[in-house]
Amino acid sequence: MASYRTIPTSSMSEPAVPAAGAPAAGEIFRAFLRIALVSFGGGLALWMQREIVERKRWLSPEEFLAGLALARVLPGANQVNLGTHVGARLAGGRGALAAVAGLTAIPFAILVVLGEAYFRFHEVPALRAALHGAVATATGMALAMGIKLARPYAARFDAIALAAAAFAGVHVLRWPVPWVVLVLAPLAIAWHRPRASANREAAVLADDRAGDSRREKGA
Amino acid sequence: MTLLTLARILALFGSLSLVSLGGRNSVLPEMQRAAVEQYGWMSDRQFADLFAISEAAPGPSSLMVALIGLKAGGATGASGLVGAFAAVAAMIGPACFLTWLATRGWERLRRSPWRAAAERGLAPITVGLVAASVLTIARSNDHDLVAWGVTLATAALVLGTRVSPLALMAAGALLGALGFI
Repeated sequence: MASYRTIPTSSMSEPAVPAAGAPAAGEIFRAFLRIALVSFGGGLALWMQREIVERKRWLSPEEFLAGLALARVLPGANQVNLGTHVGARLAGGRGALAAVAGLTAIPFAILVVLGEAYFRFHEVPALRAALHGAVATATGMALAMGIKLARPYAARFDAIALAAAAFAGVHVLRWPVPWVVLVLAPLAIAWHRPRASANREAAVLADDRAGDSRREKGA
Repeated sequence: MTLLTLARILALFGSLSLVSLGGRNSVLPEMQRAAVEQYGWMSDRQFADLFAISEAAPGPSSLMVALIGLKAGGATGASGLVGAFAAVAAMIGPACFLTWLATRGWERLRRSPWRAAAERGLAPITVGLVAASVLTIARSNDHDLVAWGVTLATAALVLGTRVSPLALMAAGALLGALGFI
């Protein structure tokens, strides 16, 4: 592998490659604080994608989506797992703690206040109706971001087949999500198994990218 | 809140943390059984209301356990706060530790072409799962054509305009409060 490292990296000109440089724990905390604030209902992973991949460019889209798959297979809350994974990739254990703290601090405070209000004043019908309307809107925003996420794969038959199989696994076969991932993941990885030169080049690029961020972290 | 209650909160959510494959919704029935039937922390109706509150609040949905811990701890004041914090720490701690270990293994595979293959292969699966989640949320909330219309109109607005998501959210809540949805 060492000889490949002399190949000049294209990370400055390649838009899909995240900007190099490992963020500090404080920056990770603030990013996840922001993500938690704008997310409602089930859209959290998609807001994370927007902040981490599109705005900050800390991870490439594929790195992020693979992390999301990893977070879904492991036990625990998917979103918190994803935060742990992203934080740990960016800045190790401190990064993971910063991400989880950022993700949970303000929502926790909001929930405690809402919960206390609920138990003190019990049920206000108008409040329930407002929550219902807010969830309908949040679902639409999740749908929009799901469409954005799917766009790069619109012309790739193998990707469409995999996505459709995952969707059908959940809604037609009604399997739990972890089963769907455990069945489809080996098939998908086998389909993309390392072959000849094209994949080796991709691996070298990925390696250079990681090397860049590591060097900046040390500096 | 007694020490027994605190121990029950930690034991309940600490164990659910490691079996909650796929997130909170896979262990919701077990949470309900423990909080309502086994420990009598709240009524069935209150449990459903707490679910609705946590759905509409920002942040990870698994933070719903804060509301259960709050009630178990006495609903208000410092005792309730301790219950809420204990529930969240127990629910996310063990799973986070496991994810941290798995991420370290993932990083060690950095030079492997297999990791690139995994990233390329897993991404489309995730796209399919995200689509599936959207349908699940929509089904549980959108029970009539108006609600579906609001959901689809919001998606179109997000894709076609630069309107702020929080403004859309406020508009949805207002329409709901006025009885339109």
